[in-house]
Parts: sequence; structure tokens; C-alpha cells
Amino acid sequence: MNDDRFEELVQRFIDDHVTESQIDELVDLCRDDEGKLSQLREHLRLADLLSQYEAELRSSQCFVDSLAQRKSAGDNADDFVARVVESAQSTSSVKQNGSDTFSSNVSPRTFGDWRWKLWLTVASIAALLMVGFVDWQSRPVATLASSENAAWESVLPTTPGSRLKPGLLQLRSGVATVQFDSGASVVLEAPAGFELVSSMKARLVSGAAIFDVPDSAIGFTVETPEGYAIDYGTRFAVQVEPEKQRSEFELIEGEIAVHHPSASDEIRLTEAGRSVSISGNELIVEDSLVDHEPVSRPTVIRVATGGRITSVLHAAKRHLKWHAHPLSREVFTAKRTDSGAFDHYSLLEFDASGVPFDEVQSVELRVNLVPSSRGLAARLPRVSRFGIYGLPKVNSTWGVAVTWENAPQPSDGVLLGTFEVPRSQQRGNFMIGGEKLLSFLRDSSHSPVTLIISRETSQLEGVGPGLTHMFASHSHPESVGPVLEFTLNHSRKILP
Amino acid sequence: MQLRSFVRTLGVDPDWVDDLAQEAFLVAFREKASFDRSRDIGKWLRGIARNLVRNEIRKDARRRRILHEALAELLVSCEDQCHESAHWTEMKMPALRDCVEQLPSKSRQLVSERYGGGWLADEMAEQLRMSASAIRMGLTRIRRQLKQCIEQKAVEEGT
Repeated sequence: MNDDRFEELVQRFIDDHVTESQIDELVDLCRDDEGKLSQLREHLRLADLLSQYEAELRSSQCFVDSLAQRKSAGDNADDFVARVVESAQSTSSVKQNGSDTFSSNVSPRTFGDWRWKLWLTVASIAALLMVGFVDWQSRPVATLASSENAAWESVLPTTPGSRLKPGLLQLRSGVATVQFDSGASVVLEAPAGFELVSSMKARLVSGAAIFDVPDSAIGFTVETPEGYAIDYGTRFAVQVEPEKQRSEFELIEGEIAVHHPSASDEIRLTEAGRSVSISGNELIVEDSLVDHEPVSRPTVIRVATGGRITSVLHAAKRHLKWHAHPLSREVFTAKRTDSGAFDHYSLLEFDASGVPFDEVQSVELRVNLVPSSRGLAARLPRVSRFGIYGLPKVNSTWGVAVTWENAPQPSDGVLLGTFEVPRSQQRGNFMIGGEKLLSFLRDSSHSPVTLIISRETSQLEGVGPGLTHMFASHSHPESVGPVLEFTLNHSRKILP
Repeated sequence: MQLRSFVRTLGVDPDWVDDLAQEAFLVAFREKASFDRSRDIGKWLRGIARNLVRNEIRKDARRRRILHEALAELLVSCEDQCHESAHWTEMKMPALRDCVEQLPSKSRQLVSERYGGGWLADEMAEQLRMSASAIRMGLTRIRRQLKQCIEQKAVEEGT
């Protein structure tokens, strides 16, 4: 009986959703049973070996790439680091090419020495780059836009126009506006404690604030001690009362999702004036206390992918798929090289069958670019162009585990539009619209449609890897996944 | 990369395994003067990793990189003998590759969606038209087969 339960719990723990209490139970079952404990260990080890084998983004090459990437974000001119990175890359390529031989032919001692050298190289780069990384983390993320009789207690500069690095601002009196580099802005009302985390994330420790989030910053996250909210566009207010351990999020316009740390679900607010308050373990949704005039404006229908996203990469690269990037489900990728051997493109599926197409005025496909952990932006042309292709229904069957050989290709589809991303840009909301996209969607409205996103421009070939562009998928923690936004041509009356 | 798998068996959150393994390398680099070259370097690194996980257990819950406190305690508590018995010194990737690529196609697909795509059993269920529990059992069976297959290969190579 115990054995069956143990088996079931191990399976859940390794391959599925598992609750805290199920893990507790598993711990109790293993505690005095060395046999069960070693079975559990063996499953964990194999699961990890498999994910190293299966997924491509966790290679030591990638480790070096991502450090180099972080470093280059702050400082492109450090020739010394570049040299060290280069030497480590040549070491790790030896490793990849030689992977078949070193298990059997090389004696353990030389193998150990050789491995030690690689480790030292990797570790020394890591140590070197740590220094750069600290700089990078503390680059300015926002500007103090205005200060209305504001009095501050802060280590950050407090004169209007100052650039603000991540850190804590304490507003003692007055009102101040902070403009984030992502485009989001916040009006703070004293007394307030406010922490800048990044251009897409802030923490309200105490006090009240109103956030304004344009399209460029969709996905902007506001944390409070009790929970956090992700903005899906436009305005909301947050109030934090530390002494009552209470946070309140009120939607003024647009859409936000409020998360409570102990609940895995989110609460979406889409109706102006609605609010959510969180205190302790309670999460209460309150209706608006004031009457809002029914708003008359074009209705927008948003369709997301529902998890049907996958990136495919060239077969030449697949044997290197040893290591899964922890973010692999959170992003989808696009890359093109002259040789074609390292190309990626992504398939997105949308089910727009519920959309009343006869009322649709226009449609846009929106995707959010997120910082890439792979490759160097300097190896790209100044501007990269991306194409969105629509796949005719005959070619549109694929599974999320589709491979390069059997995946539908951009050339199977029709080009619906393009957008451009400057190499200096790491984040942002990009879109295509237009009649071509709309008529394609309308023609295939009876069933799910597949769109392919592929990079049309290549990279500057050479020794170092060019950047792989990454876009947020539906499960990205900060940014919103791809959506189709349909604007309807009549104004529906929204009930109060 | 063996160190990575080792770190995972200490109950570290899969998303943080790389991070912690890198930290172990960094500590090793800093302390390299104290390393006796006649000793097994892998063992030394694993010792460092174990101490890092012990530190994690003491951290407050929000900053921790482990999945579950009691579980990590249990996994880390066992001293050298039970970890070392698991043949950590063998490099198993080529053997694993041969074994994985020999799997029947349905099993191969399960492995690649779960470990390549990162989908949980529950999320794969609908698409594969199988129940989540059948998928979990399938994956468990596959891991056992692979373990056997890898061990078999080790024996063949040894002879």
C-alpha cells in the first residue's frame, strides 16, 4: 500500500503538479527507508540527465554566452573579457566535438585535469563578469520626471530629471512622478516607500501610487508585501498599508491581473472601478463604490495561444541539446544565420473561432520581446526584420514536440507582415496589423490557425554567436505572451 | 554536468540547479589553494554543493532555491556513502543518448515533450489523448528502462 502511494507521489513530484502536503507525505515515507530514498534520488538524477540531454539551451556554451551577453549589455569595450570568453568558447567546443571519446578512451586522471581547466576557465570568467554584472544591474532604469513639493529621504538622486538606478525611494511629503524606461510611469503620493527594481518592475512598500502603463510596457509588474499585480495595459491604483498588512489594487482603466503568493491563481480585473484587497491569506474582490458612466468605445477581443507555442531549431544543432534552459517554456525564439545550421523559428497557434468576424474592424498580432540569454547583439545588423507567416490549413498540424524535419516551414505559408527590432532594444511590444492578416484570419476562422514567426535578416558571421531573439510566451513571469487583438467596428455598450 | 544532476538530487528547485552548480564552481575557484590535488575533484565539488544546499535550508523561504525544506534536509543529510555509491564518476551522456534514441517513438515523444519542452504530465494529457496518470507512469517506466540500458552499456564497455 505504502509502496503504491510512494510510487504515485514520486511520479507527481517529478513529472507533474505536486502540492506542499504531498511532498510532506513523500518525505515521511522516505524518512526511515533508505531503499525508497535511493529510488527517489535515482529518479531525480535520471530526470535531470534527460533534461540536460533534451534541451539545447543549457550548454556550457550557453553559460558563457549568457554571461558575455550580460556583460556586453553594460560595456562592449572590454577587450580582455572578450579574449577570455573566446578562449573558453574554444575549450567548450572541444568538449562538444569530443563528447564521444572522452568517456571511454581518456584516462580518468587526464580527464579530470582537463575538466578542471574548463571549470577554472568558466569559473574565472564568471568571477570576472560578476564585477560587470553588478554594474549592469545598477544601470539607470527610470527618470524622476517631476516633483511637486516633494521631500525625500533617499540614497537615490531626488532632483527632477535625475536618472534613477534600482533602489529605494522614500517620499516624505508631496507628490512625485517617476518615468520608467519601459514607458510605464507612476505617480507617488507621500508618505510612500517605493523600490525601483527594473524598468519593468517596481515594489510599493508603503503608501499610495497610480501606475500608467502604455503598450510598450505591457507586463509591467508591481509588487507589494502582500502580493503583486501585472498590468495588461493602461491605469491602476495601488495602496499599501503596512501596519494593517493590507494591499489594495484598483483598476482605473484597462486590465490587470492580481496574484496572491499563497494562491496559484490570478484574479483578472477588467472592469473599471473594481478592486482587490489582499491581507494575510484573504483576497477580496470588491465592486466599485462609485458609479461609473457606461463607457462607449470600440470593444476589443483578445485571443491568446492557450499554450500552443513551440520553437523549432535546425537538426545540426539538436545533438547539442544537452541542457534545458530554465526559461525555455517562458520564451519562444527566432534566429537566422547564413549557414542555416543554427536557425530557429517559432510556431504559434491561435483559436479565433469565437470571434465575430463580420464585426471586426481591424486586428493586430502583438508579441513582447524579452532580453535574450543567448548570443551577442553586436553581431546583428543595426535592425533585424521579422516576418509573420500564416499557414494554410492543409499544412497546419504539428505537436509541441515537432522537430526541424517535420515542422511546417515559413515557406509553406504566406507572408502576412513584418516588424523590425533595433539591435539596441532588449524589450518592447511589437505588432503587425493590416488587411492581409485580417483576411487570412477571417478565411481560416472555422479552426485554429498557425502563425510562424521567423527572422528574415541574418547576422554578421564570425567567431561569436549572434543574438537569438526571445519573445515572451504565455507562461513568461513578467511579460504577456503573444495575442491577437481584434477591434470591433461598433461600440458595444458596456454595462456598469 | 554531472555536478548539475547531483545538485538536483539534493532537492534543489530545477530552475535554480544551474545557478547553484555555478556557485559551487565559483567557491571551488576561490578556494582552489586548499584543494589537495591527489584527491578526487568531483567529490570535493560535491561536498561544496552539499554545503551550499545546507545554507539554502537555513535561508528564509522567499529567497530559497530549494523545492521543499524537509525534503532537502532528508536528501542532503545522507553522508558520502549513499551519494558516492551512485557512480557519479562515470560519464553517461553518450550511453544515455544511445538508449534514448532507441526508445519506441511514443516513448521518445513523451521524453522530448516532458524534458525538452518542459511540459508537465497534466499539460501533455490533452494533446496526447492520454490521462495524466498514464503519462506519469509511462515516464517512470521509461526512466527505469533507461537506467537499465545505461547500466547494461557500462557492463558491455567494461568487458
